[in-house]
Amino acid sequence: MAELLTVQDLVVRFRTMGLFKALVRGVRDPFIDAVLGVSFAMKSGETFGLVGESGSGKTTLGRAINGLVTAQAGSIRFDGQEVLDLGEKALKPIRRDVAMMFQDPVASLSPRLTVRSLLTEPFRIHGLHDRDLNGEARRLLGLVGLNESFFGRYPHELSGGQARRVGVARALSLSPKLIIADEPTAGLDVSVQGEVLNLMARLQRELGLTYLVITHNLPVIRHISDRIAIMYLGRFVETGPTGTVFRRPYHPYTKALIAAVPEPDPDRRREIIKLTGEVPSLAKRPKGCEFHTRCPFAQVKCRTETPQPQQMADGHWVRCHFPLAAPTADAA
Amino acid sequence: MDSVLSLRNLTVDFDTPRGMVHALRDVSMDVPRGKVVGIVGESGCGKSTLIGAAMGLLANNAVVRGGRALFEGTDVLTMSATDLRAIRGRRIAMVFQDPMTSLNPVLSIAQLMTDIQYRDRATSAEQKRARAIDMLRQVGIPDPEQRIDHYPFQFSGGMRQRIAIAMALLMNPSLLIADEPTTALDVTLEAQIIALLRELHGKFHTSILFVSHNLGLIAELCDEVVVMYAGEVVEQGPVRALFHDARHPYTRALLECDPARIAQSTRQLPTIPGEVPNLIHLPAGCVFRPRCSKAFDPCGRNAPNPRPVAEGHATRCYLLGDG
Repeated sequence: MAELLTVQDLVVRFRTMGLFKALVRGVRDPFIDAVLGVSFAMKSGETFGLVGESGSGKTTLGRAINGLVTAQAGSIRFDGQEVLDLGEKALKPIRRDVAMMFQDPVASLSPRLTVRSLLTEPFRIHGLHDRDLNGEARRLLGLVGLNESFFGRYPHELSGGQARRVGVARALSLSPKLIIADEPTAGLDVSVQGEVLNLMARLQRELGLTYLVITHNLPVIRHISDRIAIMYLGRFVETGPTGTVFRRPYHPYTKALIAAVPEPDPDRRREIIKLTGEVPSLAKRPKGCEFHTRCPFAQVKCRTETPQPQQMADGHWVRCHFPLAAPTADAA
Repeated sequence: MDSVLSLRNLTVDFDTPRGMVHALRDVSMDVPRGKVVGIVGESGCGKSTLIGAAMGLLANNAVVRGGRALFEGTDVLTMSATDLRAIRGRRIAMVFQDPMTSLNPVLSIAQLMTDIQYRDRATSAEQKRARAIDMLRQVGIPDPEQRIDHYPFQFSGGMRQRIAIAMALLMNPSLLIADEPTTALDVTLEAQIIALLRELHGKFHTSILFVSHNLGLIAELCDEVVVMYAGEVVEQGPVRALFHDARHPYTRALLECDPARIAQSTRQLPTIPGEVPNLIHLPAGCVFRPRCSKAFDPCGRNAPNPRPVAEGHATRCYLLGDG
C-alpha cells in the first residue's frame, strides 16, 4: 500500500531567547532542537505510536505534521504532496485530511460553545455552508455513540469520556484520512479508557482511518498500535513493529521504559530501578548519544559519537552503538 | 490490632444546590501501624472525601451523618481547630498529586522546610536547617547544602515530588497520606518515587495511606488494599487476596480492564458498561447493580453489608463464595 505520510530528516527548533539577550549573554545558538532529524513513513490504515517521556518532542512532532508549528528543515509529504513550505492558505485543504485530537478532553473544547456548535465549527471554518449542519452533527454524534440530546450541552456538562467522544467526533467531521491523537486516554478512568480505544478501533475499521497516536502510556500503545517509535530528546531511538519492540527491545532506553511500567501483580514486585536521573534539558543536549548520561552501558564512544540508525531486523531500527544482546525475559 | 487511622461507619454528605451528594456511605477501614494501605477507585468514588475526613479537612458544606474517623484513638471529626492544627503536618502528613502547584513558589526550600517546624520551639534555626538538609539527602536530592536555598521552580517535577516527600516526613509523622503522588510524573520518575517511598517506609516505618487509580502501583507498594466504588468500600483485603482472589464483580472488572494485565495484544479492550451512578439519586439496593453482569434478585432490594471472605478480606456482595 502507498505511504500516506512520509517524514524525512525533520527538524523543529524553538528560539529560547531574543536576539539581544543572546548577544548580551554571548549565546551563539539560542535555539533548542525539539525534534532532531526524525524520519518515518506511515501506511494508509495503520496505527503508529509515538512514545516518550515529557519533553521528548512527541507532541511537537505531531503538531509539525499538522502545520501547527513550523519545522525548520526536512520534508513532510502527505499523500504525495510536500506540505512543509506551504503557507496558511495552501495548508487549509491539507488540514481537512489531517485532523487533530488534542490532549485534555475537556480543556480542548471551547467552554462557550455547545456540543452542536463544536461539531459544526469545522464546516464553517472550511466554508462548507451548503452542508446540512444539524444533520452532520447528528451523524457525527451517532458515529461516536452519543445522540442528539447532547446538542445543547456545554463541555463542563460532559464527563471525561463523553468529552473525549465529542473530541473524536470533531476530528472526524471533515472525513480526514489521518488523525493525530495526542494522549487520547490521558485523564480517563480505566473502564472509560477501554471504551474510547474500542471506539477508535471501530472507526478505523469502518472508515479506513490512519492514526498517529502520541502517548506515554506503554500498556495502552502495546494493544492499539501496529508500529511504534520511542522518542528521546527529539530523536527516534528505536522504531519497529509494536510486538517486536516490546518483546525484544534493542535500545537500553526502550528496555528501561518497559521495565519502569509497574506490574499489576503483587508477586512480581521489582527490586531495582534500572534508570536513574532525569531527562536532560534540551538546552543542554548531551554530546554523542543523548542517552549516555543515564545509560547503564555507556562507553567512551557514546560520549563523543552520535549513533546512526541501524536495522536490526525487518523494519526494526535502533540508534545505539551497542544494541542490547540478550532478549528480555519479562517483556510483553 | 493497633491502627493509626481507623474509619468506622463513616457517612458524609455534601449539601449542594442540586441536592445532597452522598459522597461516603458506611465506610469502615483501617491503616494498621507500619503498614501501607492502598485505596483504588475511579473518579468520583470518594477517595478525596475519605482523605479529607481523615485529615479533618472536609469542605464547609460537608455534613457528617454518622461514624467516626479515629486517628490514634481520637476522633478527628470532633476535634477543635487548634488540636487539628497540632496533628496536621506533625502526626499526619500529606503528599499531593501535583508537585508543580503544591509547593509555595515564592519561598525557598529552606524557608518552606523550616517553616513547617515552627512548633518546635526548643530547636534552633541552624538545627532546623540541618534537619531539613539531612532529610533532603535521604530523599535523594543531590548536593542538598546548596540546593536547599533554591526555589521550587529551579527543580524538575521529580525533584519537587522528592522535596514534598521530604517535607512530609520531616516531623516523622505516624501517618503519611500520598494522594496520587506520581500521576503528574513520567513513568521512569514514577518508578523512582515508588522505590523511594518503599525505601523510606523500610527506614522510618511510617504508616502510609496510598491513593491511586494505578493498579500496578498498588500491587507494587501496598500491603492491604481498599477498593471503593461510588462512595462505598466494596472490597478490602490483603494485596495478594485482592489481586489473585478478588470477589466483588467491580474489583474483578477493574482488574480485567487494566491493559497492563492483558498479555495478548488486542484491539478490543474490556470495559465496564454503564456509568458511575449519580450520587444524589442513588440506585436502590447494591450501588454496582446497574453495571454488574452478575446481578440477581436480592441485589435490587437491599444494599449488601460487608461479608467476610477470609481473614482480613471482606466484600459487599451477595454472590460471596460464588466463583
